[in-house]
Amino acid sequence: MDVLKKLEILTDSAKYDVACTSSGSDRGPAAGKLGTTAPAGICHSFSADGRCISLLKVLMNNYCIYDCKYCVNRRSNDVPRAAFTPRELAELTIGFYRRNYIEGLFLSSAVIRSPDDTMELMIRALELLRTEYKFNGYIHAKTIPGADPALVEKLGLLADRLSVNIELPSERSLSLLAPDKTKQAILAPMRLVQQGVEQNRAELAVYRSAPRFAPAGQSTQMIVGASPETDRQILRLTESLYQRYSLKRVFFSAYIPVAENALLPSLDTKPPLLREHRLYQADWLLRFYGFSADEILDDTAENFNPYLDPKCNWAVHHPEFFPVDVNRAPYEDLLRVPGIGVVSARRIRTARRESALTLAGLKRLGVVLKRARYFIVCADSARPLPVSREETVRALLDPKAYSVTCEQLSMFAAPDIQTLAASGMSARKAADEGKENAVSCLVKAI
Amino acid sequence: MSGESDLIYLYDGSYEGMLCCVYESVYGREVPADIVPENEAEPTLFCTKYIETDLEHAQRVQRSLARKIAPAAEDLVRDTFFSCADGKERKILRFLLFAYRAGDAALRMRAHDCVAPLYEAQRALRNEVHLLLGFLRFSEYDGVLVARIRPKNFVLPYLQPHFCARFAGETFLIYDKTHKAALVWQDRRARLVALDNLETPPESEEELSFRRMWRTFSDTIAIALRENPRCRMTHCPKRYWSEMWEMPGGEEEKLKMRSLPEDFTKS
Ligand code: SF4
Repeated sequence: MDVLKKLEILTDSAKYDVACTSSGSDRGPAAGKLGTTAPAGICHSFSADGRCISLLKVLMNNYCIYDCKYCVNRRSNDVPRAAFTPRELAELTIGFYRRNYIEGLFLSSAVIRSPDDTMELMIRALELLRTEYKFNGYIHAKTIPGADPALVEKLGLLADRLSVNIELPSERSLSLLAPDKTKQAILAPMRLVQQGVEQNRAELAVYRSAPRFAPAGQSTQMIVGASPETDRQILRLTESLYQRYSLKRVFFSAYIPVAENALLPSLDTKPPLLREHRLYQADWLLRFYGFSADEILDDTAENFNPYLDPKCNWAVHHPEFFPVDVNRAPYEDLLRVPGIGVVSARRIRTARRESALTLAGLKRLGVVLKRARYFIVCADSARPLPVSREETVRALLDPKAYSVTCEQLSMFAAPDIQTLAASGMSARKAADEGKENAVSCLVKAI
Repeated sequence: MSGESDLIYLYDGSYEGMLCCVYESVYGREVPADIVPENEAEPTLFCTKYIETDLEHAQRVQRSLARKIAPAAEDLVRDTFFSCADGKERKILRFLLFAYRAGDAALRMRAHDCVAPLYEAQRALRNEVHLLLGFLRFSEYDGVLVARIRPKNFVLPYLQPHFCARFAGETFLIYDKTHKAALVWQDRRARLVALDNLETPPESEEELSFRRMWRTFSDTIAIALRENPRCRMTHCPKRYWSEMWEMPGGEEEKLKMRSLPEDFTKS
C-alpha cells in the first residue's frame, strides 16, 4: 500500500478527534534542528467543515483489538485498515512541516495487540522524528489507557502535549459503550501526566537543562450526545477535570452516528452541534470569565437554553447584578456583562483611567453595544436602555439557533425547530415558531 | 502651530522619509493637508513640497517616540506605516502631533479620534501577518524553499523573525507580489530585496506528490455531516487560496500549476 493510501485511511480514522490546537509550548530555534513552536498556536488551513487544521492528525494504525461501540475503528467494524511505519510517518511530517502546511504532528493510535505495544510503536516514531530528523516543532500524542507508566513518561519527554480521552461523560456510559476501557484506566495516566508535569516544573527550577515533560500540558475530550448525561453533569465533570487534573483544555465532540446499535442514537440522528457549541461557550466562561459550573447551570436548569449563550442566559436571570457602571466596576464584574469580552474588558480598564467612557468610546474599544446597552451605565448614559424584558431577551437571542439561509435550517438549529421542520413545516416558519416560543418562555421565567 | 495648510508633502516612500515629513511639520510649524509618496502622487491643485530623507532627522523623530510618548509608540507608528491603511502618513502625523502633547496617556486613549485609526491599522497588519504565518506555502526547488504571497499590508519584515527562526537551517525565499519585494534567507542571513518578477523551474514529482498528499489529508479530515463552507471562508478568506493546494478550485490541475491567474480569487 502506498503512503498516499495509508494517509487517507489513517486520516479518516482520526478525524473524529477534535483537538487540533498547537498552543501552549514556547520553544525557539535550536542549533541544527528544524522548527519552533508558537505559544498561541497557528492555524494552517481550514477544512470544509470550517475547523482549523494546525497539526497533521493521523493514527499510527487503525487495527484495533477493542470494540468501543461509538468508534469507526472498533474491531467489529468493516473498514479498510492500515499502519504507518515510523519512518513513513516521520518523512510525511517533515515534508509537510518544511512546506509550512502544519505546526507539527498529532499522533494517536488504535490499540494494536496491547496498550504497551501500541505505545512502543508511537514512541519509536516520535523518537525517530526528534532525534534522526531533528524535529523541533509541535507534537501532541495520545496516551493509550492501560499502558505501563514508564511508557507514559517516555512519551511525555517526546511530546509537547499529551492527552487521554475521557471518551464519555460518566462511568456508566463508559462501561456500556466502551466495555474494554475503565474509568480507572483513563484517570490513572491522567494523574501520571499531571504529576509528571508538576515534578518537571520543580526540576526545571533547579536544573534549567532538565528534559521537558509535556510542556504544553494535557487535554482530554468527550463525546456529547452518544449517552444520556445532561449538560449540567458534563459541565461539572469538566470543571472538576480542570481543578483536579490541571488540564489545559477539555474538548467536546458532538456524536456523529457511526453504528446501528440499540445503545446509541439512531443512524439518522443529526450531530448535536448547537449543544457542543454551548458547551464550548460555557467552558470559556469557566476558564476566562470567573464563572463556576454551578453558576452557569444551577438547580433550575439541567441543560443549556438553546436560544441564549450561557453568559446572556446568566445575565437575564440575574437582574439584581445590573446595571454595571463601566467607569467604576471591577474587572471581574465587567466580564459578566453580555457584549463585553476579555479583550474589551481589559481595554476598558486602561482607557477609563484617562477619561470617562461614553457609548461611542465603548464601541471603539470593541464592546458589542447591541447586547451591552441593557446592562451598563457610562458617562453619557446614566441608565441602561429602559425597555421591556421582552425586548431585552430579543436583543440577546443567538441567531445561530434559528437562522435560515436559502430556505434551509442551519446545522446549528435548535432541536425544537428541527423537530418542527422534520414534521413538514417550512424552515422559515419552524424557525419563527421556535424563536417566538423561546421568547415567551424566557420572559415568563425571568 | 498654524492650522492645516493647502500644502502636500512628497517623500521617497521609505519609513525614514515619512519620519522626516514629521520632522518638517513639527519644526516648520505647519500641518500639511496630506503626505504622499512621490511615486503615488497625482496631479493636484495643492502646492507640493518634496521632503528629502535625512537619516539624522529621521533618527531624532524615531527617538522622540519612546522618549516623549512611550516605547510602545514605536511599534504603533511603524506598524501603521507598513499597513495598507488609507492616508496612513496623515494619520501618523495627526497622532504624533496629539501624542507629543498628551504623552504616554495617548496610547491608552484607544477611543480617541487621533489614536483609534492607528490601532485599527496595526490590528489589520498584525492580523494579516498572523494569517500568513499559517497560510503561506513553500514549494521546494532543488532544496530551496519558495513561497509567493499577495498581502495587502507590507508583511515581509514581520514574517522574517518567525520563518528565519523556524527554518534557520534552510534556504528560502518569500516573494511578495503586491509590493514586488522578497525576503531571502541564505547562509543564516536575511535580506529584503526589491524584485519585479520571480521565475521558478517546473515542480519535481516529489513536490507535486506532497501537494497531492496534503490535499488528500485536508479533504479527508473534514467531517461531511458538519460541512460549513461559510465558516471556512470567514476564517480563511479566498484571497489567500491561490497557493493553498488544499483549497477547492482546479483540482488536479491546480496541483500542477505554479500559481493561479490573477483573477482566480474573483471567480
Ligand atoms: S480503543 Fe476504542 S476508541 Fe480507540 S480506536 Fe479502538 S475502538 Fe476506537
